[in-house]
Amino acid sequence: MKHRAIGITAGALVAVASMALSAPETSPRNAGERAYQKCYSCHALEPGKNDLDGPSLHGIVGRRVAVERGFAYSPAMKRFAARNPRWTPQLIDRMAADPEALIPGTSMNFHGMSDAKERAALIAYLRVAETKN
Amino acid sequence: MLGRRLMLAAACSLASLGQACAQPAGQDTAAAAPNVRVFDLPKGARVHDVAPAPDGKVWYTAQRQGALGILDPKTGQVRQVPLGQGSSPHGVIQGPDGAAWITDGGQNAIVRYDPRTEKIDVWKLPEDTGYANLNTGAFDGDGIHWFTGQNGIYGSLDPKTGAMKVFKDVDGRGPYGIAATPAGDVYYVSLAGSHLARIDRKTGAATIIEPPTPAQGARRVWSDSKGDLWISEWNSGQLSRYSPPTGQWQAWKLPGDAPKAYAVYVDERDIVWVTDFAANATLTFDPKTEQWTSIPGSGAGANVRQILGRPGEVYLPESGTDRIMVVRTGG
Repeated sequence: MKHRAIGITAGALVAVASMALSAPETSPRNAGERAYQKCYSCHALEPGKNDLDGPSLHGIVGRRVAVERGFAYSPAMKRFAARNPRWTPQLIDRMAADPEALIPGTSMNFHGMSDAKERAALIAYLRVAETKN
Repeated sequence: MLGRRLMLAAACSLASLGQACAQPAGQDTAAAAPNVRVFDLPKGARVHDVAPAPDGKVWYTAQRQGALGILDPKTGQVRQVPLGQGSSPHGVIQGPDGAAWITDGGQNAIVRYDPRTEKIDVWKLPEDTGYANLNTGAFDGDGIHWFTGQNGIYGSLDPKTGAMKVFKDVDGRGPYGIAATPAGDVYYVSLAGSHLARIDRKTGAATIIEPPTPAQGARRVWSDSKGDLWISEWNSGQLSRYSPPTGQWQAWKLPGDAPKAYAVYVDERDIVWVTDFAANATLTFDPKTEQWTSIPGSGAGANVRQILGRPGEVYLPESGTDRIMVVRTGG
């Protein structure tokens, strides 16, 4: 067993609540990167990194559905894959909007992105990200 | 909506580990034991967490419907209180003030619901925090609310002043379950970082405590009456215990071939409850005898993501079936 002490001065971000969340969106890339933050905790962009709650999104646009090695897909996702062989942009858009509506019974636990522009920015970002990882 | 008595076997002993106790997939169980009741929630609520509410009621987060749910187990009646535009609540606990304190990922905010006035207060995270994917909260012994964000943060909110502090976890993404000990100290675990962390209540500094099993995927943590910490390990399928005074760890593999331990809770008798997604069941573990028992989900893919209770009752929110199972323990 090891203990690691964290230097908190570097980690402290800020204080005071009630500040508005209105960061400016200066480019589609920034918007996409920001949109991806909603996926970040469960989905990596690195290829083969499938030890999070969700599989890697590397190369997701056009990728075959439910084929990432080392990831335990839910029965619902496996049934979906049998009917939908590849992640088209349209399917990714619907998945990002409301996972439960697209794949009833999915174990993906995400409330969805209601903004179509945000989803479009995310898909564009994922396309670019796969070339960088 | 009325609660339903379960019709099939509820708790089955797992003295011989690995034997199947969960019902066949697709079968809508329900179980027999008079100590178990199942309550239907609004369809599509996708209940995530639960907490005891005043007057014997049960709060739950309706994650997909942006609401705090209120279940009255005496009558089976349910109502939901909308929490605000874009709300997607994850965790809920009862604070020392008797209010519901909610970690709301959709609003990127801590939300308080006062059951006496029905007033809702919202504390947004500081702008430069970004999207935190807020997860779970706990109150320390000084009345400060601590919370985790799965995108790699933990933080605190002083209910008296509204002052909020946010800190980065050293390993980045992963902070998930958080709990306070009887002494009022606060610990959290990181799912992706596979560590336990103790928070210094004065400075906010976190001391990382690494479990002996590498990459175990520590998802949730709860304290027993002695202040020992029980951890559900998602990747390893283990239930582990850390004793702060001695620094000693001990781990027990859940029954079955490939268990996936999600939620953990310790009741007032120091019986440990842990959910296993692979078995579609909630298990109890008696540390004294090291015996397991199993309570099957009320339907296929029940996916109980959190457990909480009060003396004599334990609540199992089934995110996959839109139900809450209430187990009376006789305590």
